[in-house]
Amino acid sequence: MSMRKQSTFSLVVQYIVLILGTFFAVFPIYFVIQASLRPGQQLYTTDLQLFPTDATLDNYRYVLFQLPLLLWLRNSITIALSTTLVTLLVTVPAGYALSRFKFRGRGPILTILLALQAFPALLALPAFYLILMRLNLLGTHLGLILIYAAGATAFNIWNLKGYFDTIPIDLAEAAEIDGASPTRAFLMVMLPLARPVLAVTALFGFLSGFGDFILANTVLFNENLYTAPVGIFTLQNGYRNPWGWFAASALIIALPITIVFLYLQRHLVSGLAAGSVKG
Amino acid sequence: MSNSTVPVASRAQPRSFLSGRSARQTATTVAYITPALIMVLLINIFPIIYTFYISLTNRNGARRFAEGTYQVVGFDNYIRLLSESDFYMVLGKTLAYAIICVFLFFVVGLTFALILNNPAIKGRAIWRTLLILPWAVPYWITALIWKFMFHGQYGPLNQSLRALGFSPPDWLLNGTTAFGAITIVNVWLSFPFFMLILLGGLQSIPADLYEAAEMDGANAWQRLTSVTLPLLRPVSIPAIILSLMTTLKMFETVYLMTGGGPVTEIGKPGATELLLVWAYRQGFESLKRFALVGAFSIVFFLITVAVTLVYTRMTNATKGAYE
Repeated sequence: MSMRKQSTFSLVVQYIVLILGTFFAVFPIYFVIQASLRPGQQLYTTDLQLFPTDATLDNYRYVLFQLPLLLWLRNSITIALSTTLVTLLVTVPAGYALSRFKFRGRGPILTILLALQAFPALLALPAFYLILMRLNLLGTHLGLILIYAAGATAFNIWNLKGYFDTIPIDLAEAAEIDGASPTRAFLMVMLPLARPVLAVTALFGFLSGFGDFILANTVLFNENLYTAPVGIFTLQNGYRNPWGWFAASALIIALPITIVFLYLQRHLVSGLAAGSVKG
Repeated sequence: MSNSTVPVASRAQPRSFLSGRSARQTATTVAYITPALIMVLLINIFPIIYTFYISLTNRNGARRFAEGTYQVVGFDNYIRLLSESDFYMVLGKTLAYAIICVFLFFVVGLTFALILNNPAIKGRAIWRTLLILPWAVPYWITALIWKFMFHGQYGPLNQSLRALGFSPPDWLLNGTTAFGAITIVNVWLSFPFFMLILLGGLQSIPADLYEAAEMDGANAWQRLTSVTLPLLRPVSIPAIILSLMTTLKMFETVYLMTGGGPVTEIGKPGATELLLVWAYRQGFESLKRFALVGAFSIVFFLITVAVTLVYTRMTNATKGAYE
């Protein structure tokens, strides 16, 4: 494609589409940023204002110092990082084993994992409630972490397995012939080669732990244990939402996730594509 | 794809030189997959069994999560579900929603993937980063943002339309426009995923195929339909299946944005009441029909599994995975 000479017209059209698409993608985010900088109730106007007239950090001051937002944010980050850790510890060895070793039951396990994704887990709230109650984890962070980590297990194992399939197995076998244990070969030879898919798995673990609202809202009762979204939704009163506080809180909360996301995004294409390309 | 055939083929042959280590290998396999299996059994499989059990009881209308008194009544809830006209109405609406959404994800995602794959475009990494930003936004923030974007009086969409002299509708309070609104939001959320997947696919298409097509006199449209699209099949089919499944299961964003409303006919599901929103409201809002929702979950699960398995077999989308 690179050799072809493209007409100026075609390039102009492509840039216009790109600009419109980027506007569509970014404008809502820009809107939150400017909303967070508006004083008081300025958002409740029927005229279009794209720039706040007297920008202020009042909303930020309020949510940071008058509300326990930082505590809730710390809870969210703790949960997200723990979910990431549990996800990696559980799914990476499993994905590797399913790619590398041909054992009895491997095919059925892969099929069952694929099928399990179809269950609407959200509607199993009574079952989750029962499990957490029996494990004495009701209202705790650990209970949430387990459910978040399990939620994406099936997808992650498939994605990891798909990626490990593309790494030549001879590398691990050579290390084993040289006397390395299978675990050592896995940790020292295969894992460094699987960095993109590890990044994607970690990202998904973080997102599922950080992004949830509905489940956390169902099982957390203690205000000190609230995650950021659960805490913020308690600000909603009546029909009029405090948009300025929402906007400021949303941006503060979105900051860690955006940093993680942008840091890992260069791995997204290779880590996802290789895992999902099959046959 | 071509580089993956080498290890797959070499692994399919018996590795006799390693046979002395087979006991050790079994132990390694067990150690590697057991944590995942325990987790899946406890948190993925047990809830399905428990949901099936609830679906056989008359646990409808009990207080939320209270262990009330209820008995096993057999398949009553399944009969009730399948004779409920609301269920079919919601099902039809959700299917239409899923097909429209996934079609738009694909078209929008492909458009931007093609542009970002064009070396003549400057600053492609920056454009890509900006375009995938919606993907990083947590769903509850998405719901809040778009609820405000579509707000009848204060939303920027209507502010702009009024400034241009139109008298726009209150998007989320009108059935048809609310359905359009949740479609737009879903495209916003999901096109970055398609864009990245298709971009990955485009980058693996050898340039000489295009050169050959061009020598044969193919125009841009013909190159798209006869080279690009067929070669994108292996990446697009899994992405389409995955998105169809997630769209059929669409819940959080819509629930937080519209709550399933607006209700256009008293006593009927609202205009944006998709399958899971309907089921969630039946089960966990005022009615608390746990058993009916249990039956719904099992039916939904079986249909989705059947469709997924038949489709993946038909298209061989996962064929290589079992080798």
